[in-house]
Amino acid sequence: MTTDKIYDPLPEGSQPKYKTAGYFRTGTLAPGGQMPPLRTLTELTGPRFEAPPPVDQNLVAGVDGLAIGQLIRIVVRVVDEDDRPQPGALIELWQANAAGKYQHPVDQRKAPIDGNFRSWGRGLADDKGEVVFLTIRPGAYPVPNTDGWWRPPHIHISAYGSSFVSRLVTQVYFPGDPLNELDAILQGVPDPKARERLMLVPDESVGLHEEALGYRFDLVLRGRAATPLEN
Amino acid sequence: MARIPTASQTLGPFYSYEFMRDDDPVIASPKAAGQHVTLKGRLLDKNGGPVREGLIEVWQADAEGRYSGQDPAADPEVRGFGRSLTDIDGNFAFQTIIPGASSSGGNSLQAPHFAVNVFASGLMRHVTTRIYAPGSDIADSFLDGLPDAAKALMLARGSDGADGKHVLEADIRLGDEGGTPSFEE
Repeated sequence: MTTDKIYDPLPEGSQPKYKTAGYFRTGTLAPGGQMPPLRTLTELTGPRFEAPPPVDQNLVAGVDGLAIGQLIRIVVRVVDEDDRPQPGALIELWQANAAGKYQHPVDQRKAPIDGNFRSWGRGLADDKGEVVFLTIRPGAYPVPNTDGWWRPPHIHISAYGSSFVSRLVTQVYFPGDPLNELDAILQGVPDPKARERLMLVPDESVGLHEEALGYRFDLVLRGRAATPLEN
Repeated sequence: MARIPTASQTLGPFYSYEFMRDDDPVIASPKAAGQHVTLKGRLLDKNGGPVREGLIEVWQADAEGRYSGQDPAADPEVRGFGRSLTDIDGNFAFQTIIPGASSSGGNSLQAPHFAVNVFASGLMRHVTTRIYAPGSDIADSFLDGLPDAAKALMLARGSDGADGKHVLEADIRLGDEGGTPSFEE
């Protein structure tokens, strides 16, 4: 599709700086002076994806029973800057298990693996822009080779929206966790309101009664209507 | 209601291999029209060291400069999109075709190029750049306006691969000194 959208500059403070205090690795990767963005047909188009099967939205149904941990149900709603749902957006989600351990060869930490937990999920946003995942609250884990930095419980989310420009990879957090204030990655977002928007929002109405805590998350991708909506 | 885009956060080191399908680095099928190439390179940090577990994403036009999903006449054998996870030495590779010149609005054209998004552990936001195919004589107002050094960093090098397939090679160097030129978001 060609996007019918305008892509304004990102508001100051709403995105992290490439170089972030307390996160050493950022210093060798941060780019230097950047050129103004291009907005040609290339950037205003983008890939579309087929819908993954429903099983991919359930991370906790293991062969020997349920995954261990606090069961949670997350409704991710994908919208643009006009709050318009973005059906067809592909969402990928990955996270640690309840012990803070990833199913990934790079995670060499001694922590229990849960054979009933799958650490990834994916889904395509429906007509309301929503993808629903059943998972668990992940554990915190220490960052290797640091002076006692523990990542707060968080869930990684990747989204492909309607254009190359609307691509987003982020992490979402649990409100009130004391590690949130100490995390260099979350605190790398300058505006406190922008950090607040990375918090999952508890919502009983989307939970499963006596089974899973409900959370909502609105994922806002770049772009607003090129012409006023009433036209 | 106006909403502010969600903040980016780093990809981290644990992006699941399970997301990667065998055909993820295949941007164009073997049946696609055009000059078939392997597009490859290394993802490097400021010191020239390899960046592993990085995610390189490419978006490109078909051999006639048409984009999948946008132009109904676009070659159905060109998905236009591919992604590749860098290995321990920072290598990435795609199977594709050299895109045609695409519109840059009005009657002007863009030289054949690959749009690239780069994600990695330690990159707080992704980096957007382009790789240009060598040897084009298209007048491109952006590319022609670049200083020679920056232009050289964005142009792929062409060669013939051992398998007889043409190779386009371009390293993507991150960092704030001599890195690959990139765009603000």
